[in-house]
Amino acid sequence: MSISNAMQTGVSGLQANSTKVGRISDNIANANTDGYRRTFAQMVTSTSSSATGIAPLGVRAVEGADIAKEGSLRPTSSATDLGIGGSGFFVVSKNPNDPVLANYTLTRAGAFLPDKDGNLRNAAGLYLAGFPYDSTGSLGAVNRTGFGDLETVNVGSFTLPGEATAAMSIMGNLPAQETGLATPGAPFISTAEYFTPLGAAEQLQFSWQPSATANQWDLEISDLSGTTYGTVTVDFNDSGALAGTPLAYSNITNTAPAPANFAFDPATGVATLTINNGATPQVIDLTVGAPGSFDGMTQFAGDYSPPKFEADGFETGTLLRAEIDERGDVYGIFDNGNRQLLYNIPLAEVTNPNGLLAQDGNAYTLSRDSGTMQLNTASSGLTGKIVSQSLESSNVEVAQELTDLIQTQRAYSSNAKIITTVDEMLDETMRLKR
Amino acid sequence: MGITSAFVASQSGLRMTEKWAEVTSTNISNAHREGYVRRGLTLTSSEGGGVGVSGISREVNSALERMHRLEVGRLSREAAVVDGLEAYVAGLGQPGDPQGLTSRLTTFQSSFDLLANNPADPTLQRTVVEAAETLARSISDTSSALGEAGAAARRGIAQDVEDLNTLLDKVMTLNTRIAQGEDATTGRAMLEDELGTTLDSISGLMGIRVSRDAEGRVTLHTSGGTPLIEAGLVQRVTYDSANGRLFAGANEITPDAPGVRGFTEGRLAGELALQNEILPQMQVQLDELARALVVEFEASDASLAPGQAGLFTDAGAAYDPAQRDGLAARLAVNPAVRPAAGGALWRIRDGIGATVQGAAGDTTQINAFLSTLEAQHSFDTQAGLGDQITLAEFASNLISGQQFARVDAEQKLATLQAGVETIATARSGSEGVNVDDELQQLAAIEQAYAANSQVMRTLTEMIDTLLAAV
Repeated sequence: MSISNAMQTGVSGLQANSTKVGRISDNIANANTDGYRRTFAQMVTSTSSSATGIAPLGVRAVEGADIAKEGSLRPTSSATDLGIGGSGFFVVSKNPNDPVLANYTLTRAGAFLPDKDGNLRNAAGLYLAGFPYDSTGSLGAVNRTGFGDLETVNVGSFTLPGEATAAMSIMGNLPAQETGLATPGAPFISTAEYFTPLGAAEQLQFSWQPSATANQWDLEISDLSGTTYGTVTVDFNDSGALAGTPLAYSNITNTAPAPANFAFDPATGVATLTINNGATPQVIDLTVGAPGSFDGMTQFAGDYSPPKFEADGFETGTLLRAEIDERGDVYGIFDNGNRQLLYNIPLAEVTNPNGLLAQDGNAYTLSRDSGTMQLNTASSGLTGKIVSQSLESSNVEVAQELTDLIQTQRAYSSNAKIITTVDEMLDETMRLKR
Repeated sequence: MGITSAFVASQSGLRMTEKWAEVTSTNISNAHREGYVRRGLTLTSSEGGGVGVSGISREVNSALERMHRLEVGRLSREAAVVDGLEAYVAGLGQPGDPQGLTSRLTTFQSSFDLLANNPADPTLQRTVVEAAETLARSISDTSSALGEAGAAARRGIAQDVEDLNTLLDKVMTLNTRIAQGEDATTGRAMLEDELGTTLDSISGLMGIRVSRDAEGRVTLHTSGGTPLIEAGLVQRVTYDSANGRLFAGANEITPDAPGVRGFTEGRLAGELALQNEILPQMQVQLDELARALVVEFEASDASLAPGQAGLFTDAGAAYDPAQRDGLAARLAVNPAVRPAAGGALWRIRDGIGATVQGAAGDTTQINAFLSTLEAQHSFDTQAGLGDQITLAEFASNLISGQQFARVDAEQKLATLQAGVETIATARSGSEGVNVDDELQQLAAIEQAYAANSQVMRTLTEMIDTLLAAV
């Protein structure tokens, strides 16, 4: 190995270390950038040695990024500040509902705020993408390996069109001691809400009349305007393992004026109401409780517990605010007090996150190195969870960067020393000849 | 965990302590406010180190709350009965009071005794007539006092029904605001406080059952199970004063009515009990006394033609069995014995129907009147004051019986009062603010804040040291 080679090795050391200082300065500059991922330079030997001899062993810096390492979550006060605890990335796009799939990138920077249209946009101007829920609260079959089915999450001007109620269930307890009296008292009344196809809230009234026969009740279903749909007599079991559950339904009477209708299936305990409120009447399946089942109405001695009703469909409403849970489900809270699932924010996971390519604005794009992408639901499997009201700090540890800086500085000085020493040596050599 | 995450952790500690101080100071400043429920802080360890505030909780004790409301409802019911009877019963006096009904009856009887010794004396005759008039007036005054108590109860019911509807509307508004608002926030806790106070007021008026849905909205039923607020509908309460019935929407909720899914607690229950049972019963008793006077003085008067009115009349007419209701108010002395009304005093000696004066010393009719005062008569069992007793005994039973109604309610009230106070103390102990505790918390807050700041200071020094080394 010659002197000039030593000089070159020294120069390679200078170059490599200056690259490293460059990375350190990037990290320190971005130490407080939310969602920033540390970059670093790793030293790799560079040589052209062969079996015949040892060639000079220089050094070069290979740059890498520590994308997989998490930063710490710091609490904030905005509900749309989202942090990810665990693995995964938000999918963001350059424009709202961007049709260009190349404009979709991944990021961990979750400082989202609604823009003028209510689209959630982060500090870098990228729009958050999610899968929209349909009116029945299901996502349907979505493509989880590409960006095609994603929409921009909008929490602004959202008006929920109504959806008609199709199924309804009733659950409660009737007081057994009220039946079998010589003069049974007044019926127990309860009101249930359902939604018309136009999204208006209407009520049905249920009247439970205790009978003079023990454990027998007459159920009458009517609307508030006084139209009676029909009546059915319910007998309850008074003994055995199924005591308290419906025994049988009888005396099914349809009193609804056509085209409205009332039908009852005694085997399943499901009443089918046809409500005349449009060209095509609305049909509601109302589950009262199958014989022998504890899921619907029961009859035990004790207090009358007003029944709880569950009805699908919803009322027309205007969005007031949104809540985001750790599964990434965005709930809309509407002015009528209803909660409705609006979006699911998926987290993108790639096989090798460190292989992602950095883009402007804390974003990353897929590369050959990163492997395939999968859009997973947060908090499921190994995917991280979404934490509202928090932001992920950069994963830069300033103390580490500063110690690296000291080290690099020393290494740079040492390399410089090599060069000056070699220079002096060459000088020495020059002076040999007068 | 590096210095940066240590910074984040202690920062979160500072934020939590600030929130804690806010909650504690709110507790202390509201310590003496009625209906304020102590706030607490729900803490979680936050993802990635540090502490997180997951919300502000309201330390509500729903079991005590329910018991307290029930007891307040029972108390209000008895209080309404006591209040409604107080003025009337005070005017009624005790048996033996010189201004009372029994004394008037005794005075009337003794004036007859005197007249029997000297039947021709016009002064004594006048004394008898005046005593009869005082007695009749006393009964009709008592009856009108009872009428006033009834009118006051009706006004009370009308007012309470109006208040109740206002409160129900308020619950509806609060329901909407609670469902729209965010859970576990200061705003939510304030709304819950307001809702709690409103429900307390409602349960003072009527017995209610409260349940809540997933969005925090309340559903209200009467204690018997009739819906008041359900499925987003408020069933406004109306009062049918003619029949004394109370309705929620189309459903009857009259308290104590058989088979009705109403309620038995609360001021409305007390007022309706007064209106529907207690006062009508008292009226029947008074009417029965008046009836006995009219009928017995007709029966013992030999001079009367059939259908002719006796010494005591139903506003001048003879007794008509169909007209007994309200007779006490119309009771009057026959004008035939009142010189001022063109009558003659001697008829008290010869009989009300006599057309000519009889012998001056004749005491037959006077003795007949006297014996009817002393004799035992049968009374309507509906009055519930005994049968086959004298008029004086009936009057005395009437006064003591009606006094008892109030005393009974007062005793119940006193018993309930003790119970309510016990539960109220337990409730305020469980839900209210203990200033001592809060002050202790303040000391802990100060320490926690200082500790977190110390961590930050140390971290800063560490970084400084490092920077000096570069």
